[in-house]
Amino acid sequence: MSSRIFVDDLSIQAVERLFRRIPPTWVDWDEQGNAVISSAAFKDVELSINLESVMARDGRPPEDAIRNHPRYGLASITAAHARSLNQAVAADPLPEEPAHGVVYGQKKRAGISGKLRDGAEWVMWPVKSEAS
Amino acid sequence: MPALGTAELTIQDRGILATSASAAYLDYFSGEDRVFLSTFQQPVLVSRQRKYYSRGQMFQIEWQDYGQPLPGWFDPLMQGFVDLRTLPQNWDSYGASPIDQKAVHEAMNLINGILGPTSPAPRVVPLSSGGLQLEWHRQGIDLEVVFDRGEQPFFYYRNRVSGDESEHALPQDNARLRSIIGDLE
Repeated sequence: MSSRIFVDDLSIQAVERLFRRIPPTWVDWDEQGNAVISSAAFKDVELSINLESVMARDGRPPEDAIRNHPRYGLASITAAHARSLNQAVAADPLPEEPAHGVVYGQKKRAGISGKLRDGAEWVMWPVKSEAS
Repeated sequence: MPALGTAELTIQDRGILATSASAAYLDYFSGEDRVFLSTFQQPVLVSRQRKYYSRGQMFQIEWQDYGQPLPGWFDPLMQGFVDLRTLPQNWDSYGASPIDQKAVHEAMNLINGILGPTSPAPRVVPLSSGGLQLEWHRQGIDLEVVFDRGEQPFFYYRNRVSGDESEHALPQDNARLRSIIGDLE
């Protein structure tokens, strides 16, 4: 369990897109062939994301977030959507990922993870495969 | 084609699976059948086995039951549990640990008493924390049963049409969970 605490960074604009890698095991394919994300993808208290503005500043397209992760999908939620569910949004740059950020807050209870998921949009679909 | 490793579930795993299978099959007998069987013909236990493959490994499970047909949820559920066992370190790319086997056992034990012969199969989904959840999304209902490390299991219910949602502790609310799953059939 994380011992860090993040406060909401209001310099991150409401429209900022927050990218989250989605491994195949969190994807279900419905009868229409749509890739449906499990709420499990949004359950971490300290949820790692990539900040679009930092990636853009560095000249990186969104799909660069899954460059080393074949078969993964890339989903996005907005900072506004996260905040509407009592989450804090903060930058948390890492040496290997300067655009790393965190959506911080309790998500496991009260269906918050599912509501975060409901606001997610695909940026890059995952690759469908039998063995996930 | 990669060589397949062979892995058997532990004796404890098989025990749980055997319990699950037997319980499900016994539900196939009506009360009348049971009287008939107990009076005229004792059901005979037979040994059964089934193989599942996941990420290049083979898992074989063995159990005893009365030879009844497997419920529709059996294979997808077992495959889901087996798939949890073969997830590598950092399977989510964010540093996730392998799934806690205690959580898997807890889920197997609980679901044993919940699913009926015609219940829809849940999807088995790993959590980054090392836990897992069972999910149903049918008929406008979202149902998620969460098993996580060091926490009491619970389920979350949401009716997407009416907006009703609620959360319930397990096993205290097993009956409620059974009823909701029954409505999904």
